[in-house]
Amino acid sequence: MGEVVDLSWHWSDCGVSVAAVEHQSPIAPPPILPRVLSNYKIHPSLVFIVCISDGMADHLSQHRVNTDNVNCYNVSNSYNNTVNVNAPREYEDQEILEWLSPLEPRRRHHRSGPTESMVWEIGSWELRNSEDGVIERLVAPKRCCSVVGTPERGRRTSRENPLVLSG
Amino acid sequence: MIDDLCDQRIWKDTAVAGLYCDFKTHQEQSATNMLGAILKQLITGEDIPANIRQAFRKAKMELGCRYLGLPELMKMLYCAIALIPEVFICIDALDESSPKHRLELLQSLQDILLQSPRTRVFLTGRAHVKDEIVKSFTEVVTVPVGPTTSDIKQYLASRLDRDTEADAMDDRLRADIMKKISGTISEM
Repeated sequence: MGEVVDLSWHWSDCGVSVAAVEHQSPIAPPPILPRVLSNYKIHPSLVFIVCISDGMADHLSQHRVNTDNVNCYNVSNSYNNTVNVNAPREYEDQEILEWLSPLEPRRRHHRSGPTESMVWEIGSWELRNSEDGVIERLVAPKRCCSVVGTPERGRRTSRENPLVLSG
Repeated sequence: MIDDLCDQRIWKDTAVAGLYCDFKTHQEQSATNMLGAILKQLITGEDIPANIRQAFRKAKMELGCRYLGLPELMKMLYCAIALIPEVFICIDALDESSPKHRLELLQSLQDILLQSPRTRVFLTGRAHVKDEIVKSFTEVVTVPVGPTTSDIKQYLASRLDRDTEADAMDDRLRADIMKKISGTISEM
């Protein structure tokens, strides 16, 4: 059974270990993905499923590929054919988000942010005062609102002890 | 603050994005990365806008994956914000960001405000960053804040109630802690 193609060279720049080839031909052999996972002992999340055209599938069924010979198989050159690579969108979405920024503000917020040490209702007077609370100032015509610790105390006091703004 | 904004359903179609500056991660917290983190929050949960996807695919073909620069990121941010009726951007602990990155960040936030009248920016920081903030924004309101004595006592009582070594505490020690800590903070 030689329908498995290792395309790891193709994806090395995006950190993917292995790509599997899945036939779309009506005469395709049984699903190969489980065998790929077993052979390479890789996590399913690292696998890209590469869908190829029917013509390509026919080629592969006629010309067995040595799956043990990793990194020497070049789909385009060996078969002079074009492989349509369709990475699942969620993988690309994750890559895009990481490309935009490596920072994970929300995760940090819940893991080690001041929320953990908050005491319910303390300091809420600052947010909810209907006349001059922070939220009311924030939606006021002036579009930037900054909250600064008083000079003598420093903001650190209000952060570790979330009496004022828990952010 | 972020939680409070999210909890309130006063404003429909409102997005709240926030991040925390940290003096331990100056290098990582460049203006580009911080604004990128804001953008991530604005597009998370929705389909990633086509212009961002295309830019990523193009960048990926260049030098492995070309680094995203601030001008390009700002264009993406403008587009993303334009799709949302109202956006709140909250940045905490601004004083913990590096001065170089902070100026770039503040200028970029001001640019966003100029581009998007329905955006609000909320910043917190120690008093020494106040002047930088005031200089960077054409319209800014500054709120000096400090804890009240009653809040300090309520907070202390709550923390003492959650003490994992309750046997080490007696009424006298508890009273001492309540008196001295709340007194010290009030005198600061």
